[in-house]
Amino acid sequence: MTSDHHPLPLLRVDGLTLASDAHTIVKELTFTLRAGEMLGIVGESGSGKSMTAYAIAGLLPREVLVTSGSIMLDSRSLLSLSHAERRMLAGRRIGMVLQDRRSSFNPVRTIGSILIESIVRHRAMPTSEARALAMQALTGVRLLDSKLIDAYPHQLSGGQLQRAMIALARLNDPVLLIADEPTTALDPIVQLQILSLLRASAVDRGVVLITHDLHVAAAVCDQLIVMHRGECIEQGPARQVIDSPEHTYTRQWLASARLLSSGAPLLRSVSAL
Amino acid sequence: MSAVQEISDFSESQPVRWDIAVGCAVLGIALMLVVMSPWLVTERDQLMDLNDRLATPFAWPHVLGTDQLGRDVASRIVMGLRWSFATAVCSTLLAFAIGTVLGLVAARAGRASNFIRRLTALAQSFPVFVLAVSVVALVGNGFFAVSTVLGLATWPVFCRVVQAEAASLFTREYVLAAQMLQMSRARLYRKHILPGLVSSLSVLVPFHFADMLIAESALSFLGVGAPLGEATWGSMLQESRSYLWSAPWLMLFPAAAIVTLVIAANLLGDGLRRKLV
Amino acid sequence: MTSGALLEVAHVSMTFASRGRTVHALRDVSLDVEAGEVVALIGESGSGKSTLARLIAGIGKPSCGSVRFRSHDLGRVSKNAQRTLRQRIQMVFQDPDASLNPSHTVAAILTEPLIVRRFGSSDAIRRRVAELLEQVRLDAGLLERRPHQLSGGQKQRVAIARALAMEPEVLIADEPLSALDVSTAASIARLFQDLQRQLSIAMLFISHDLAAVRRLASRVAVMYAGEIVETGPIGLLDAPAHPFTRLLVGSTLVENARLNTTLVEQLDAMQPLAIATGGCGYRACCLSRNDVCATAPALATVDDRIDHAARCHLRRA
Repeated sequence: MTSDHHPLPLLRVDGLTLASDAHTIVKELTFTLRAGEMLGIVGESGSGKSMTAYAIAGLLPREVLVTSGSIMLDSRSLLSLSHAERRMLAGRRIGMVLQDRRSSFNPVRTIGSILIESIVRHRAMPTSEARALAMQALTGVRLLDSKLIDAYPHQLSGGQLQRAMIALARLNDPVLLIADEPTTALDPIVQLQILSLLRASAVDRGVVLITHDLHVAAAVCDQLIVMHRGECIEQGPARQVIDSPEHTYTRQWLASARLLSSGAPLLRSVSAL
Repeated sequence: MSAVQEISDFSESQPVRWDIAVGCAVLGIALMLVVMSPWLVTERDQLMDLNDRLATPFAWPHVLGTDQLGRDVASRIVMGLRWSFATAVCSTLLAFAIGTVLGLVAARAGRASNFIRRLTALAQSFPVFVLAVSVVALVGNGFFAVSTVLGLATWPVFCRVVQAEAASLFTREYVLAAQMLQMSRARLYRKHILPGLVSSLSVLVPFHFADMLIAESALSFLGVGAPLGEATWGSMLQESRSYLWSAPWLMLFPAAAIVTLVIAANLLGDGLRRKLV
Repeated sequence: MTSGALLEVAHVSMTFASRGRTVHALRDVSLDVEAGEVVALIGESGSGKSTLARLIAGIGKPSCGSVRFRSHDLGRVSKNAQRTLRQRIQMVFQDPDASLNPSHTVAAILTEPLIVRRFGSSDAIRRRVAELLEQVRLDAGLLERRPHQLSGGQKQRVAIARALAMEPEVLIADEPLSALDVSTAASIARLFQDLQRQLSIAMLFISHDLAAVRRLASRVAVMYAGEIVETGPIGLLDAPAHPFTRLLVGSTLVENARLNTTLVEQLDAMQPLAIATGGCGYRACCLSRNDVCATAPALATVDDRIDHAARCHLRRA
């Protein structure tokens, strides 16, 4: 899969360190993302991958602080912005698909109303126009049923909700899309479709995919970062990291993953035919 | 985390919440006063002394003053505490017992469950007050009349909570796993269902106690429930009405007593709710 | 359908009412599990796999059909007989957090099944608990801990030990790896393998993770919308006869394979039929549908030699 390379990097993270009271959560993380590229940050739970995403989006919890490093989005330093400026920027230029599907949508509001509100907040336009835009956004993620725009979150399946979240994130045409564990608890077929949707989203923007599933990252990402206990232990083109991993941890992890995915059946039934 | 877990994890440096501490302390003191009342308040303390009517408080021997018939207010407060505490405890226990049993039965699907659900709705739609006044009018005043009526009118609160919690527990995987072991029903309830209800019930009981205190005070304010001459906070408030300006302590002390006990119970309930739920 | 299989599910259907509509959770499902064999049940969420598993476990009753264990119809035997029989069918659930009583210690959780079984003296019980811990590779030091002090993998091992304490003949595992980390899932999968080999327990292994299924099972049954659409040896995953199985296998993200864009394009181009009434239940989403699919297909043989059957008019291996 070829990607269109912008001459300048879209997102540049340099020496990012996150810490809270007791310990360091992310240690000196450095990477670059160009438009048209998809970057996968993989790691086990607790490796700091989600926190990295929150740091970029400006959604860090109060106890976690950026102790050093910088985050540049389109040559603008995100960390030097005021809280208000950061929020405005994040709303328009960064789209985030959060991990917990159910709690990302207000259960008492329809999908449509949430989408419309997001449109209207960033652009002045009459509600009817905003509604048309919302419908377009839903079609763009292949939620083709026209009734869905007036449906409530609990009426949608996991896969549909995930698509709606991607629609919401892409709504105001952000330059950066961050997806945190977008395929957990989804069936394989739906998972495939969601990943394909994210891959398609990478065409005119940069996408960061956070996952604990190596297969997911390998299937769609151009670049990979492997994180372990807050440190980036391996980094590079996805193909390279998977085919020839350098770090012991990566190799062990790949071996575990292979253990589960190797084709040969190891159990024979007692009454084998 | 469940109540049982909380209690057993206590040694793992869980600081005691201030609201639970204060609530327990005040209720504990009240309970002590109730238990010690036979020694604190003698027959003589309760006698009328027409030579010493409306004595102002903060003077020995009548620390809280005397009322219009010369009776020692402090003694009457303690006797009133006995009455209020006892009726509130008994009515809460009765509501708890009926509500929990019916709630557990209703948690399992079936005809009994539907019947209990309808019964609960019916019982809950009865105005407690009207019911209490009517029953006492029929049956007569007395401790048992009051406690029973209040208990019978308010069990739906417990029933609803227990039914919802227990029904939810029966869908939990660990309960399903326990059922798959094919253990006796008694064991299932004892080891898995009832412990799961402890959190909600622990929170409900103090709140219900506070509600019963208020309800009983209101009843005896209206002259319903307590036998004539019985010292209750509600009747003391009723009698104080004619002396609001001339002897305000007659109203203030019973009022303060009610408020203190109710706030204490509410604090305890609220503290438990924050900690357990 | 060989007679005398350890577990025989015969023509089980289950319907229930939800918001005024009848939901057909299971439709004429038949499945056999022989002693010592591992059968995998795969399909998407909502296909009825969990409902079937729970039915076999005794949670809920079928609207029609029967579940026979050791040739006894579990729906018809006396209460006592049912108790004794059902004790030999145990289950490991998907969510390790929810499957253990949060206020019990590991010791209490493992002692309980032995007490219920009237295993023996407290000494005998204590020894057996130590054995069980060893079998699931847990340290004895965890006995006094409570579930919230254990990791996901450890909790799942305790759940497995609890099931094994009853010495079951059939172990139902309902998505036991789905809630776990990749490396934890791998070690639990290994544990299942070893235990099955050591104890020769029959297993019904439910998962939507085809990779784990290939590793553990010798036979597989594929479910779609409450029906079994394909059954046969595990090798059928390499040459599926039913279009849904083909789709499922094709969607698996096999390591080193990039996204199958052709497949996604085909899926996207699929216009779902509005309410496919009658006919094949999969018709609405099928990539290979044609006119003959308007009549409902029966589960018919694809290859008699290996007992491979599929519910499709167009079945071809």
